[in-house]
Amino acid sequence: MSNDRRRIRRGWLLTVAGWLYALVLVACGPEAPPRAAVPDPTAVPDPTAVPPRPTQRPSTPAPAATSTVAPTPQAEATAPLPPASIVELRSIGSARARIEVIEFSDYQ
Amino acid sequence: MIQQYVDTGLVRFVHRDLPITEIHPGAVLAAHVANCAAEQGAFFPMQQRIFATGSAGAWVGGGDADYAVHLDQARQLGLDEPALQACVASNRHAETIAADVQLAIDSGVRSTPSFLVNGRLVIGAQPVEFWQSLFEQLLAEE
Repeated sequence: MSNDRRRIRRGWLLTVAGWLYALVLVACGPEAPPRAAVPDPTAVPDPTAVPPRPTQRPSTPAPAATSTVAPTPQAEATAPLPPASIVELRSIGSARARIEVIEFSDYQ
Repeated sequence: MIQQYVDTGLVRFVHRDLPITEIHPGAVLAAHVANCAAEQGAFFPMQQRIFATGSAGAWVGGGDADYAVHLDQARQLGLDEPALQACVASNRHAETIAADVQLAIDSGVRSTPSFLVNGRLVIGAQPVEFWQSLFEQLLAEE
């Protein structure tokens, strides 16, 4: 009887220990990567639709890519913003000119 | 035209992106590359090369082959290629391109090339005589 009790007790202890071990494995195991929506730089803004509002801002510099493969966009823009306004960099002529010509182009 | 109107401070020329991918699927990638070239002070040289090679059919769909063409153009211009690639990969000009598209929509622009000249819409490529006439008219109005 005493042996039976010990056997039952040992069985319970092993079961509890097993559950605890499983819990520790679950708690400390590797976390699944977040499945963020990745923007596609080749995605085309539809001129007939309202462009989506930007939700992410650049934060830290990105490492320089070396391949010639079209880039896979990152979930977060990771390079710093250009020092000057990109609009200024795409303009010629005086900002105080009397006539402003804005050209809309798609490079083809 | 540039010497007569831009260099004299009378006219300012501004580029805006309007990638219409239904007919030009490579235009978005081209826009990213050109904007990243702009960060290196080379927007217009890059734009001209993209135009020239696009017209020649050297790039079409915005895929890897097109990107290789654009990177070759960047090398020819002496640009910092790793920096340009990092810029394109960062997707950081997506907001600018989207804002340009929105401006086009708000302005009634539906095709390229189109122009806003002091807010007036001009659709399609025009001969030099047209621009001279329009500029002179606008200058006389002020």
